[in-house]
Amino acid sequence: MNHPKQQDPVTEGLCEPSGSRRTFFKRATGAAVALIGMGLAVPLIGYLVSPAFKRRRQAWVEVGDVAGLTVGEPKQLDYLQVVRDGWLTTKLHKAIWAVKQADGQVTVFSPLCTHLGCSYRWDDPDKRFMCPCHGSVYDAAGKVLGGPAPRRLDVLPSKVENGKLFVIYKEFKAGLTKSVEL
Amino acid sequence: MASKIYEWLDTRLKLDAVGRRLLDEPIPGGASWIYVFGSATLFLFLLQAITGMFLTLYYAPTPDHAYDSVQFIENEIAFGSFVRGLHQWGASGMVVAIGLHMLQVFLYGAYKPPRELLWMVGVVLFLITLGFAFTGYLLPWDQNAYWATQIGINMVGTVPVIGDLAMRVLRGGETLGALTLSRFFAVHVLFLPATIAVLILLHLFILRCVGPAGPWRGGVERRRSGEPGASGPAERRLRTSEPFYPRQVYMDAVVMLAVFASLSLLALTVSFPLADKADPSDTSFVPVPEWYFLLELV
Repeated sequence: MNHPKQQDPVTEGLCEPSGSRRTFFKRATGAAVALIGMGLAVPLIGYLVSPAFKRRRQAWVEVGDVAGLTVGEPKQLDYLQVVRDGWLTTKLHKAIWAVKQADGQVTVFSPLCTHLGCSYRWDDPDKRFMCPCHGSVYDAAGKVLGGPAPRRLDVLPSKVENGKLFVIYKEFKAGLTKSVEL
Repeated sequence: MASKIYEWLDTRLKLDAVGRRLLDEPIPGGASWIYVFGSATLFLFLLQAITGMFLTLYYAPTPDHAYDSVQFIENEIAFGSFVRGLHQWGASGMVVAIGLHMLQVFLYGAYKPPRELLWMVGVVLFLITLGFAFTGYLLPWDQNAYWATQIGINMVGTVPVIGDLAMRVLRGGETLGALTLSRFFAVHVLFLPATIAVLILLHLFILRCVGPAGPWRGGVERRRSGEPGASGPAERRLRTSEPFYPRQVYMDAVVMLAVFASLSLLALTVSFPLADKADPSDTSFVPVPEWYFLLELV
């Protein structure tokens, strides 16, 4: 903005500053505003976008001791996962089937029948998995023995560390011949 | 590019004239560092508004989640503790700035005719600010928030005749709980901001109508130059005046930067850890109110 310089001698010293003084005030004001703006913008933008850069990590969940499993005999284990949703903490509770192999490895099955997602159970006398909904039958290795099941039981990622069994829970699409993760 | 856009707008909106109108307010006796407290208060208000808006991004106003959501802001969001720190220190800063502003206005006699309305609206603005402080204090829902608010509301309850009703209205019922938290939140982020925005505009409008009071010694000269009712234009004729821009604007901006730098430093170095989550059954907790409410206890 251009202001005419005041001529009145009485106002000298109080009159509107002009020339380089005026430029100084303008620049100093601009610098102060810019500094405040930057000082606010950087943290506020970081604050706004920071959750967008957080990936939900699917962590290994400990489900029990391998020593508690008998070779060839499936056992149902509790899978308890703590899920963080912002400031909310929810618990994901599932039951999974673990079968110890002769070589000490453990296979873990998703608890849902591959036909339509019912929960199946282990029939100990007959040594096979039975689905009560439509009669699908699997052996201890998860292979289909009968019924409408389109594929073998779905295997969950698992590992053994220091005698403890760790699992990552996943769900798979039911009714397909191939295992497709949801 | 920017100048072309400005030109386009200027030919339609006459921005130059508007700008001159806003910035050329004459200041009797010239710009001074003593006049910065009003601008500093306005700046702090805007800072509170901005940081407050950002805090609501992650805050949840229910007893089940309020505490956890504030902890989440504090510990898991980038710059979360900084933003919250700015808001908390800014609240104290605003009370300080208002105190200094009122002290200056009082000492300079700037509340005298024709500026009584300016003072009155200012007092209401101060009370609204305390309303912000009171309602905001409950929101983190920690022990301090819960018990300090409990005491504040009980003090209202001691008012004769209407005390009991007022207490129920404040709480939204019999006890301090979910309804209290959600109404304190609504008042803090919607009702009070709407009210204070209108009153700040009114405060500034009245200021432009009556003009700034000027220095201590301007009194006699001002009185000679005209009747109080005619003081606005009369003061504009005062020979010892200087436009608001650029020197007063410069001083205000420097002070705003200093205020912002101090608050940032405090927010970065002094944290506000939450107390334990509010526990209505705990009888051993001794709450401390914010310092600006301590006078009420005397």
